[in-house]
Amino acid sequence: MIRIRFIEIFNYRSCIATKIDFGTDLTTLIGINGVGKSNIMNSIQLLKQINRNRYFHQQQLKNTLPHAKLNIKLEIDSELYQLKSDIYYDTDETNTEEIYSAEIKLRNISKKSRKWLGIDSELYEFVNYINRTNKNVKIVKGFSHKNYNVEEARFAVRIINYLTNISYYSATQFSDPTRCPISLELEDSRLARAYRRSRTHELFIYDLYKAFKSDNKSFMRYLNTVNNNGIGLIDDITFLEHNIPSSLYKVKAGGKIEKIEKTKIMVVPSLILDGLSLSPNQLSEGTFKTLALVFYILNDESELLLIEEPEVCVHHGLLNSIIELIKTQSKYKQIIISTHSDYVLDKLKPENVILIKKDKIKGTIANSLTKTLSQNDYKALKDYLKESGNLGEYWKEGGFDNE
Amino acid sequence: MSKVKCIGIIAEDESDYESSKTIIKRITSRTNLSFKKAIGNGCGKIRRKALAYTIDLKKRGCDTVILMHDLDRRDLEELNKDLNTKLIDSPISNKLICIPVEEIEAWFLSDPDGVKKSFSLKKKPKVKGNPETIVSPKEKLGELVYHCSEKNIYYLNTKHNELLSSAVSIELMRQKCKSFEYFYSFVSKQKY
Repeated sequence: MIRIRFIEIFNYRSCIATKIDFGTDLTTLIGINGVGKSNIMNSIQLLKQINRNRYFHQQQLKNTLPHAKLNIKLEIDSELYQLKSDIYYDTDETNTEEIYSAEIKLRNISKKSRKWLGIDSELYEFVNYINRTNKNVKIVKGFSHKNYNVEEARFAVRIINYLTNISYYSATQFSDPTRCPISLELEDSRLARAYRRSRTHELFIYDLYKAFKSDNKSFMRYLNTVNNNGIGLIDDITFLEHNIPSSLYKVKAGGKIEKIEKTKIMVVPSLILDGLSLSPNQLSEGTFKTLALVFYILNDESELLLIEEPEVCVHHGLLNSIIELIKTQSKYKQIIISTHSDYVLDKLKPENVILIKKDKIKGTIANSLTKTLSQNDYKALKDYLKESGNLGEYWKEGGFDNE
Repeated sequence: MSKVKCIGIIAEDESDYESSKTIIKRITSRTNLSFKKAIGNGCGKIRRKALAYTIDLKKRGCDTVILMHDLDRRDLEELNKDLNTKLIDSPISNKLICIPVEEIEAWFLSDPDGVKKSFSLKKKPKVKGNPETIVSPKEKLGELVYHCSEKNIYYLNTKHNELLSSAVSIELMRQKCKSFEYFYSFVSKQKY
């Protein structure tokens, strides 16, 4: 089990030197618009993107690029590790970061080790290869690498998998279901071509189909959560598969033409609702978003899930169920959410809350609620929750604001 | 004793309201009984607004009020006294303060067969001892449903408590949970 217990973010957007304590496995970031909640989420995602680093050795580029640093205390199987990362990145026109160079190293601080274990790009390539090809390659005695022994290599691979599997969900990702394709075209069980309008929507349907085909148990668990056995968003989900024969011609040296027969599969998803069979793009925005959110809460294999504003487009009754689901899942993985909803806060404990503020000089500042309140104020909050009201109300009424 | 026509239920959340309503309907077997609700979304707000809720429920036509408040590891006697004090000026005199020990989910754990039937579980959940001695019955119920469904079902109190309320044995809840017996005797002694 890997959990982030503390993080320092240097020089990333509004996070000039932001320090955050994660006391529990469910953390909620709250604060007014523009204080840097999303920047904190995005900075953590930089760690996920390091595997896409294709310019590892272009030293000269570093001097021209923004340089962020993330120092993280990780709890790994009850021992504390310090992870240091230096990330050189650029931001494109879609406000997406592209990493040009990154260095990651970590050491065991429970054992007061001074030895840093660096994670190099070759190992990233190794993990990428295994994940891409689904090959069951085990690191055993005889594994040869200039920087690692077998134990270190296994540990480093585990860290890489942890970082690259960090999951992120944002309500905005699944806006406008009309952008969702009504069918998928698969070639060798993979998407034949990226759908023109929305890659995210298409990937959700593809992920749903993969779960349907490969792991009946996890698909059934999802279906039981969203159908009438659970929150009742839909009755059922079906997938129709149509084989589409296709062929292509390859011209060989000497002019010989070879015909290559291929079979593509067209997958047509249907969501059954009140006896009607609907395409995904016919669902309401709230239903579509919630189906996607619940799917990724239940099915993603990460140990860290980041969720931005789960409350968007969701009725408070349904939101109540989503928060319960998030609370349950936080027993199995670390979950960090950001919210503007006092209703979400009503369902949580003070220990789950981190207050985010912004200072003109210091940038984004994060303080855990339990640590930022004085002993007296904390007792007042506890008394309020016991006798007078809810956490969200207390927030709205100004209880967290101290001058 | 005048006939009860409309019951107002003050509860911490929607699921507690739905559960209480379903169980009352089963106990009374009445179809002409109506219900109104006041949901606090937490216990603190219930305590602060308890009296205001009863005034509102009276205006909305309720002649009986039931306040549901989980014990949640507090002192039963002290909590009961405190809630009674809050409702001393209630405009609805026919009232019950019901404190499930520790949570309403303990009532459902009185009947493992009922839980099994509700979720069509593969295995019957094993509940050791008295359900009212379980520290966190909601969590316990969640674990049992997950494991006995071979990890196929996640228990969601927000949706499943109503289902459980309509399936679990009233008799077993009476036998195993003192807090339920108290609730049952109040509901059953009324005229409808």
